Amino acid sequence: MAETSITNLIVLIVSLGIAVGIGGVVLQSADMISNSIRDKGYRLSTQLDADISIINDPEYMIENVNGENVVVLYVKNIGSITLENEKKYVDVFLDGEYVAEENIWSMEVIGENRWVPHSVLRIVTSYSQDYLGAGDHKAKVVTFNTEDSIKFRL
Amino acid sequence: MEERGYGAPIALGIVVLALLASVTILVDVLDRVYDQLAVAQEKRDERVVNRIQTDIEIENVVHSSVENNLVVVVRNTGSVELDASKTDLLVDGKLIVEENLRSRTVDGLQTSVWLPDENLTITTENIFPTPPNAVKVVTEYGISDSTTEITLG
Repeated sequence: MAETSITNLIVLIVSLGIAVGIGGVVLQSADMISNSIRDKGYRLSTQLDADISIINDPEYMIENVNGENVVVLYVKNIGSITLENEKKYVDVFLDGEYVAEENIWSMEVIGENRWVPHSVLRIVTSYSQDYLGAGDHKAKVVTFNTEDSIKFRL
Repeated sequence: MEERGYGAPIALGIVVLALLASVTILVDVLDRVYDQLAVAQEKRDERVVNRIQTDIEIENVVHSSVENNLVVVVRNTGSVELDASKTDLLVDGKLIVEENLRSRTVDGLQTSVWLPDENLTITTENIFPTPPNAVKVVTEYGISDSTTEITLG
């Protein structure tokens, strides 16, 4: 009788242990899934809130910076959130070619410390008028999955 | 036998509770994400509508050889209210920074509220000894107008 009780007790403890284990795994999985959904939701809402516009005058894309005639882009934040204005978050393409970070001389927000809505980011590239040559060109800026492009002629 | 009878329902109860808690967590996060996306979508729709309804027209640009400055008059020809302080001016492709702008007035008033059919007058500091070739004005929604007609005053 005593042996049966001990056996039953062990079975009870083991079954409870298994149940707690399964419950823990289920809760942990739910937590991981909810974190993923929250992160995805944040990214999607950021993409919806982010919007940019290249406001350059296409007739005047070249500026003299430190004695060099280079392409300068003015990108206005026309969305409703503050965007990151660091090189690693803003991608620039000229004629389809990715402009590497070392070829971007500066990236600064005019009159503000951060790229807040309605402020303008000034991007000075190292791409000179001579390097691009005469003809039609296209510049594109991508950030937070939003992009804008401008066609210009030199 | 009786202990074994209690063990199974308790274990099942624990698993069911964990499942219910998981469902609650997931429903809660889905609800929050849905609200967050709905708000973002609403703001985006509002921006798109405002952009469609925005239009401006440069009325005239006068260069003063006495003051060495520019006076740009722009009309709000759209149907939405604009913010004069969020309007940018580019002269010969260069953005004119705030420090180089003397004033922004709307129909003679020092206000940032720029209503439809009202004229925004942007006056620069004396930084233009010679008349420029082109002027471009950009609104807060990125809608712009440009001109190469500079009147000498």
